[in-house]
Amino acid sequence: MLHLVGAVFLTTAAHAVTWAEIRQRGVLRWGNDAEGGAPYIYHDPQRPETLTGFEVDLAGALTAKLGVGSAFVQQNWDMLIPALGDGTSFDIIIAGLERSPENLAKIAMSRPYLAFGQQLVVRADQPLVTSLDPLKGRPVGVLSGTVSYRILEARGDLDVRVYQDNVNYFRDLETGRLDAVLTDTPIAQVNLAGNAKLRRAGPPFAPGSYAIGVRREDSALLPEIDRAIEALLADGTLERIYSKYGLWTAEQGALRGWKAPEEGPAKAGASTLRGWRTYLPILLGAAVTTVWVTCAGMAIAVVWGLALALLRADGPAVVRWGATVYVEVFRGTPLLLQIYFIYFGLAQQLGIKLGAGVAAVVALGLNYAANEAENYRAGIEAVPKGQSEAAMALGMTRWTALRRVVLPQALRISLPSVTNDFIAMSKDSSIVSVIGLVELTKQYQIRAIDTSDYIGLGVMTGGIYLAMSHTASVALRRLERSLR
Amino acid sequence: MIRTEGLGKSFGAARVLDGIDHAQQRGEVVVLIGPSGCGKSTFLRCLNQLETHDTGRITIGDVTLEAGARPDREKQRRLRLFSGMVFQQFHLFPHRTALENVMEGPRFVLGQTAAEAGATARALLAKVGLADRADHRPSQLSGGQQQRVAIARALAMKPQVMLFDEPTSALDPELRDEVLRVLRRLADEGMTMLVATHEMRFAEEIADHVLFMEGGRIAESGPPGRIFRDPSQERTREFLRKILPKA
Repeated sequence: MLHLVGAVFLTTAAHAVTWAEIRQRGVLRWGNDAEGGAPYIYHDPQRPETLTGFEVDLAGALTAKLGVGSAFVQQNWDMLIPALGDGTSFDIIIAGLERSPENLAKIAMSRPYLAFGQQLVVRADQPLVTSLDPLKGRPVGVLSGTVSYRILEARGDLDVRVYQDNVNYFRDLETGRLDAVLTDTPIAQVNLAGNAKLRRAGPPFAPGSYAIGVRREDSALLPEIDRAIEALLADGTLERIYSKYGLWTAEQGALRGWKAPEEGPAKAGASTLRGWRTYLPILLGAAVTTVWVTCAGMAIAVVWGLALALLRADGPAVVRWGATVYVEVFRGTPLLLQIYFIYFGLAQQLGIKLGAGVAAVVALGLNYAANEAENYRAGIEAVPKGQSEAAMALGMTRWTALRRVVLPQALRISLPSVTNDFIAMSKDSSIVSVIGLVELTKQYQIRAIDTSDYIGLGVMTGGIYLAMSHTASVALRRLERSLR
Repeated sequence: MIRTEGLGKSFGAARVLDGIDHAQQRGEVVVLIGPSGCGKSTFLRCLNQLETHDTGRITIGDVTLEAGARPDREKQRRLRLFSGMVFQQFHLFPHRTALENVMEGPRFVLGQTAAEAGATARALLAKVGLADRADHRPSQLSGGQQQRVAIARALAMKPQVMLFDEPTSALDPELRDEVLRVLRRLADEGMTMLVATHEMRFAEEIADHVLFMEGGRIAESGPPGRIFRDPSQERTREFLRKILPKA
């Protein structure tokens, strides 16, 4: 199996698009994520159908210099490097990729096109925080898979919240969900301009640079791109582009006279299975988040779902109707939408600022409550009518008959479906990573991108999920049996 | 004790009960006979309001319930407390033991303590001959035993009237006698009873009064001796000819 996968990778690499093919095609395809945000790449507020940003301008200038056309290809930022590797969708990456040892271990990179540093951002009303040190144990937001993330992760003493984009962590910092954001200077530059609520905390540190990502095999393409960047720097094009976005800072002096550092031989992607002592504890740590989010979410779903089922079974008409609408709405719209709504929507419109963990649990709970209500309803309907008649004939009220006679039987009938939902939720809970919680799947993704070992980590992660769902189903089956 | 005047009930276009006038004294045993679908069951179910009647009135004890658009739930419940119901299909609560089935009403309707309800329930199970089955679930009991538990469960509410809806029809012939014995004993103790049944021999033996129903009406009524030996109506005669084994 492993040999087969290796062979597929090699075949793809051998057919990688070369510089000659790009010229023949007349178009250079560059990958980026349009969700990246200002100033990199974003939808022009005046003309929402057009993309703008300094990387869009840079791609235009670069391809013009190379004498080919430019084509933008959308790809999730997290997945740009893996997607470049398979060689079919785009030729290069222009997406604020850091010229870091981690990235150079996976792909070839051009000379830098922009110099930047790390900027700590806090709220204007916070006491004079000037570094990460006073933020021990506090929530700090950071973009997934960046140098900023590695800096925070290496410290190990912060509550690191991982985001998928460059916009929402500033929003959460403003509303008080975060105490700080660590980001690249260009992002801070754009988002702090005219924002009185946020301020820079201390000077930029950890200087680095962005460079264009190229497949290692495309050895003819890389020098062409290096030459083009050098020419754009020399003829003032880069200065003109960056000035437009307020990015032509003193740091950019580092771009001139840049010499490629001596680079050691690229590290082969080592199997993380051999390093399981390192990675398994990391994954298990993330699994703890998965477990508590699932258990807490299911606790809400089971109780609230029961309340909904009872209201539908024995409530006044208005309440019955309301409960039915609730079930339809929460079953009929995507969980992802509900999470965004609860986490971002409530904070913005109503000032209800739920923490990421609480929002995740509430969203999962409210969503699954609709399913559980249906499970209970099916259970209640499966109890023979004679049962409630016998109870009523004894003089029980409808409510007592439901509570003492129908419900105990209905719950036994519903239990297998509820068990299924519990296991389904343990997997669905991975969706809460969109609001910054690093649960098992997100941790897998982070580590897999770091190490390029999707298989080894995948085996470990899958094993953990299997162990969790197996434990849950064994425990719940035992419960079912004891209730019989 | 029981009185109905002009009692009527329709399911959609079908008139299932069509003006039942019936009066029954305390301690009297009345047996309802008639072909399937004649309205026996619906009559009994109206008496304890598992079905709401749409014309006429029902009086049991001191509660009178007039037909009306919106049933008065509290009055329905008081009416039910006067009567105990035994169903053809027993309808025991499968998730509880025989003892718990009998205790359920006294505990959760009358608000008795577990000890109080337990003592009564054990006595009643002994009375129906099932003292040694108190801790069995319904699924571990035979049909005849289940029906006897169901009778004990109804008796636990100390009803003034017992309604039996074909209590032996779901039972194999060899199990019927054990249930009929319990009914006989209740009748001997002076319980007011209204029994729908196809057991003609039993009916003749136990009844003070027999009602023959057909098409939602009482077609003929009288003492068992006359109804069974010398019915005045041709329809009654025909029904009895079909159902009674050739002598």
